[in-house]
Amino acid sequence: LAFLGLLLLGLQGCAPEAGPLVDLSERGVAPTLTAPPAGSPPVYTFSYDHRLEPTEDAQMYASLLDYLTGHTGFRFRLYVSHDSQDLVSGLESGRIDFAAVGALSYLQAEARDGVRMLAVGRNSEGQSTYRAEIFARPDSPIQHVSDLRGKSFAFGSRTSTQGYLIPLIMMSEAGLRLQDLREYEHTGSHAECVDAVLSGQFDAGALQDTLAERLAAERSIRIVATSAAYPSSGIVAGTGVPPEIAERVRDALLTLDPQGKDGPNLYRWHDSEMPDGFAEARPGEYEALRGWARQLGILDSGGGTQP
Amino acid sequence: VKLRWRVAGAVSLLLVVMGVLTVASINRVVMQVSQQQAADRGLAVARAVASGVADSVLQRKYLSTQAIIDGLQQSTPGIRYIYVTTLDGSVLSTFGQGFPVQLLAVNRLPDGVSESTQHIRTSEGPILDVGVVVLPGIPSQVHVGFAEDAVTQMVNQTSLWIILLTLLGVLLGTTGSYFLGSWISRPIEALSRVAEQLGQGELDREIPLTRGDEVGSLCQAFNAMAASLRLKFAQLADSERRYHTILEAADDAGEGVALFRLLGDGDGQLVYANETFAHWYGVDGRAACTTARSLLPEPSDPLVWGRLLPPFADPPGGVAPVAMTMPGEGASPLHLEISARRFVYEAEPAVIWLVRDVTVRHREEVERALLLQQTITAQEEERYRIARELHDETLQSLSATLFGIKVVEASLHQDAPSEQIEESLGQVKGRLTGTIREVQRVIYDLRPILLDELGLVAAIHSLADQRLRAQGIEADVQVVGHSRRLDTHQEVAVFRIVQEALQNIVRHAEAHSAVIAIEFRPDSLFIQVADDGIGFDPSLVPSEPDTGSGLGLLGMRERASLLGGTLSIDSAPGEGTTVVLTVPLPEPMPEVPGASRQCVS
Repeated sequence: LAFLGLLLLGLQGCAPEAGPLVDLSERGVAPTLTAPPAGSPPVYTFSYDHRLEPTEDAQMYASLLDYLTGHTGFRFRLYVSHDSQDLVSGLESGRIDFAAVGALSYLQAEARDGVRMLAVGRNSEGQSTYRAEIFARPDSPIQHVSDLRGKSFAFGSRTSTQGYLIPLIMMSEAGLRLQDLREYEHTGSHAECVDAVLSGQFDAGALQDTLAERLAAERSIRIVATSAAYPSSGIVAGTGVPPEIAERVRDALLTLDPQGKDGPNLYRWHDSEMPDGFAEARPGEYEALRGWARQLGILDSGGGTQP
Repeated sequence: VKLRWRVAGAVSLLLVVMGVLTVASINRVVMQVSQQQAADRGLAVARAVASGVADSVLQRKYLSTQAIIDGLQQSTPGIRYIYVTTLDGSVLSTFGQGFPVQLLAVNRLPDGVSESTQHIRTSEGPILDVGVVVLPGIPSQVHVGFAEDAVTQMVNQTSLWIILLTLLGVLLGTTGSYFLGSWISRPIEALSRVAEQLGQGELDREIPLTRGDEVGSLCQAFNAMAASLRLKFAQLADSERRYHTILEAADDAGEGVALFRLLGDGDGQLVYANETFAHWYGVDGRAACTTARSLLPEPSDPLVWGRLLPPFADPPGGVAPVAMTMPGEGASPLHLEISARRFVYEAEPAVIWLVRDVTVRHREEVERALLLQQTITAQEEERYRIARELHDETLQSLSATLFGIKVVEASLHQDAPSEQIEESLGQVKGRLTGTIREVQRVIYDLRPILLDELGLVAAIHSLADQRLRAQGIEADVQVVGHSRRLDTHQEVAVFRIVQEALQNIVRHAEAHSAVIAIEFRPDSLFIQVADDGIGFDPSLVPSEPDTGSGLGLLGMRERASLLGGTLSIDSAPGEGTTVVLTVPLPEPMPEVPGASRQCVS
């Protein structure tokens, strides 16, 4: 009897845990998953300009949303935009509530409707401006911007301030036009731009300053030229966001301390355009850029034109 | 049931119970660990899948995502399905044709939860659905389904092995415990056998010491105990021998010994009685049903039982003995004296009786009392006799003498003839002579002067003359040995015994002659008085002196006893009587020259 009990016990012990019954053979067309039903707590959509690898961007801003949730009590969800146009239209249509955008995207969205800049990112020196860097491989003969004539060049995203607008300004100031380049391409992000240059696909490229300085310090690239300082990227609120909500989000952003207590909870924040947190946006600080964008014809179209 | 089987059974039961618990525990642990490992592996694989598809999902490259999950399922064993919910809400899966819509309701990850596992039952067997988010904060999930058949199969196989090992362990444990129990119980069984033999009195048995463990120590202790028991039994046997020797000595000394265990009702149960006691009281010495009260007649004083069966410890100085009278074998009763002493026997209160036969002492005491009474009576009789003799004979003789003197005086005044006066004086003289003889006889009866002056032999000669020959009985006094003087009290006592014997001859024997033989031996004096009279039957003479008869014989015996000697009487009807007196003499008397043998007739 004991052995029988032993066997039964052993066999019973091998039974898997119970769970819901699912018939895998009953197939159908999978429905499109929708947003949470009405009545659920509000979830604010947050999007961003593509700057690094898609997953890197997503993880970096996901850590920022965790911070915002902790300081505002609001719930956020990342929205990965198809491209800059999708982001700008989303802000305009209310599909996107908040977004981390570069100056160009901000100027484009602001130009179409009243998208508000809540806070401007501060660089590692504590300035709410950033620069763009034109770089080449360390062994490249390119020494000046003017040496780019007849060379191939890799830009960042078409809506990137540091990857496209400011390098265009630098070339224009050096007397170069896009036609003077042997060829050029928008790689979509700063990381892809670096990959394109280091792989030899292009002779030089344009990059945001913090990433470029780190890579130069690592002797992965050599900086050819550094732009003037322009207002940095920032966090904007879309047209559908109530002012009080935007206010609380802005307050939370201004108290972000990436160099201090909040640093460990942020993902690769030092590679962002706001490594030292945020500063209040000052009216008129984007005027110079707005002028260049209009001059270069990329403010309204969002696309590149000949400067 | 033998100890070895008990041990084997207990060990088997313990092993089975432990086996059941072990199998259950291990099975549970293995199941949990396996499922946990499967879940961990599933999470790791799901995370890898999520990482692999993250870029393509974020860039909305659905074909790339589909290709990635198809490749991962083919390259990773155990994966039943993979499906991905994209940023746009569509579902990419590896099911190929269609999608089991029910899966979307299972294990959905709510906001804020990055991963989760869920066991589900399907027609294809149990499946573990592992869901992870592609990236935190991204509304895109990856779900991987792992078939759990392998886990179940592995757990079943493990359980089977454990059960088989447990069975083997039970068999080995039972066998081992049986032999272990045998090894342990063997000396214990030997110990039990020897203990049984020890209980049957075989004290010389010992257990061979072969082991140095606790059992060996037990055997060693047992042997030591047996040796101690042997010694104690030997001491006990020796003590019992001494005890029996004492009891036998008590038997030899004519003392009865009985042991009673005190009962609660004031009686005592006989435990032991020696032969003398058993003989006196007619009991079996070891009759357990005999009680003290059943042996003795109920005494007139109930307090006597308190002395015979003392309920408390003996007072200092002991308890006064109790005198009892029992019917004797003959007509004479048996006088016994019981001394009771309380003590502890086999841890219980008991009392021992020491019973002595005091019949002789009792008789002697009675005899002494009667002798004293007889002596007083004899003294009074002697005084009466002397008074009577003085009144009847001496006083009459003196009165007659006085009358004769008055006659002579009258004759002188009347001038009677001288012949008449002489005749009267002669009569007076004769009467005075007779009176003097009577007075001498009286004085002799009181205390023979010869005894003091010439000694025993001369006194006996004179006694024979005055008592026997004066009555016409022929007397022959024979003296053998060296006649010598004895101590005064010895001579008086012997003289009185002979005087009584001769007096009996005169009074009762109707004899014609008597022989008085006196023999002076070196250490004793032997006197025999024999007559040819009518004799008598000594058995008819009561031995007890309370009848008043036989006081003469008793007085003779008493005097002989006071001298330390013996007196015997041999007589039969028509055969005459012989009285023999033997008196020990302390030291030889000085030899009397020429007195080797005297014979006086």
